[in-house]
Amino acid sequence: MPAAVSPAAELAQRSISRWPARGASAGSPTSGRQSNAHTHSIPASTKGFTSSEADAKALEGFGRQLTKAGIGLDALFTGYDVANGAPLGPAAAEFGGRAAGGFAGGWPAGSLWGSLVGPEGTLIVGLLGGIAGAAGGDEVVKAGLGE
Amino acid sequence: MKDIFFGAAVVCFFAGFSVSSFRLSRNAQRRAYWVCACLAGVSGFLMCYPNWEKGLGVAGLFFGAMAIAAYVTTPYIKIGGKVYALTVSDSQPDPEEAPTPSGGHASAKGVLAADSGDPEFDPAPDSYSAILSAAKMWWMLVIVAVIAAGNMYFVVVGRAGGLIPVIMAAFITLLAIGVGYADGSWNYAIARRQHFQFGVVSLITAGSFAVVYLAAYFTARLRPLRRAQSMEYRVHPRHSKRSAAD
Repeated sequence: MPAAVSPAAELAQRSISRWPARGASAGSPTSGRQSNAHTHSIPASTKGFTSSEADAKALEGFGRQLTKAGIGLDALFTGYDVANGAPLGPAAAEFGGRAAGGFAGGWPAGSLWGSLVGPEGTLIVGLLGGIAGAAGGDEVVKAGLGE
Repeated sequence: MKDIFFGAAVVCFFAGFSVSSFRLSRNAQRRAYWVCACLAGVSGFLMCYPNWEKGLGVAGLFFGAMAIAAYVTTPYIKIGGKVYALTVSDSQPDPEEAPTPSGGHASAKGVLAADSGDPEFDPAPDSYSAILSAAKMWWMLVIVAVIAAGNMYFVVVGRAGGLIPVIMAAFITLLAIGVGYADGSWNYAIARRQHFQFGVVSLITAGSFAVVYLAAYFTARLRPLRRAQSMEYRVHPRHSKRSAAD
């Protein structure tokens, strides 16, 4: 696990293998149906798999919270800077670049990782994609503004 | 006063982002979210008062940020009875309006076959991990390609430099490999039939995206990567059936 990974992300990572197997997620109202729905058709090689659909949903939920936190904090600090004298136009444009790059980088990266590899690591890959996209969006707007 | 209204805006953001945690109907959550968004905008305006221009700008910034967050992470944008959202699960009809699961439709968050009670149920058969539909995935790739190509352009004209343009070039390349391999491994059509976006991305990147994508796609057709843990098995029941037959 890289040192830069946040505690929440690390917890999400660990929970994948800690949580019960498919269809046995505690408190999940659909757990029984999940089990029945797939056991007849899932490949034999997946039967020992330790994460469930609930885990995948939990990861998507973490992704949502990270996105909200990123966009919300960025907007609030940008607004605070503007209220304290920063020019409005460039600050708003840079926020737009970071926001667009962030969600356009993060969600596709996470989705592709889930498709190719599985739920493990999806959150980290999505986070890294979001950071890369946001940094790129910020940089391109700054360069466009001549900063 | 500035700090007080900034604090009020923080509370509005936090409250708006938390409404999904409460046991409220989807419509009540939606109303509460947009009330918070409007109050955040008013707080932003008052932060800058009496500078009207900056006040309106910050108000728009705060409201716009909550609108972006609503599109990306919630089902709270509903216009004319249709929900507009980034993800497949958030794009489903409200649970109060959706038919019962036995009718074969998704519940509020039900985009998995298991949630519908029907093992064959697949509300977005071309989606990536049941998170992004093929169309939205490829529009996201257009945005990333614009950013990556923009960075490269500014490097060439001498207005940018450093590591970020290199990271963006590597990132769009990895995305091209990943999406090509994912599409090829699971026998989807090229670009999952999003040919317009594929053309736009290829044009923006001077054809380099198409070359990398197609190389990955046809390599995956010969040597597919189908990990047992892949989300494709979980969200697209037809893949499970095919593998079981194999």
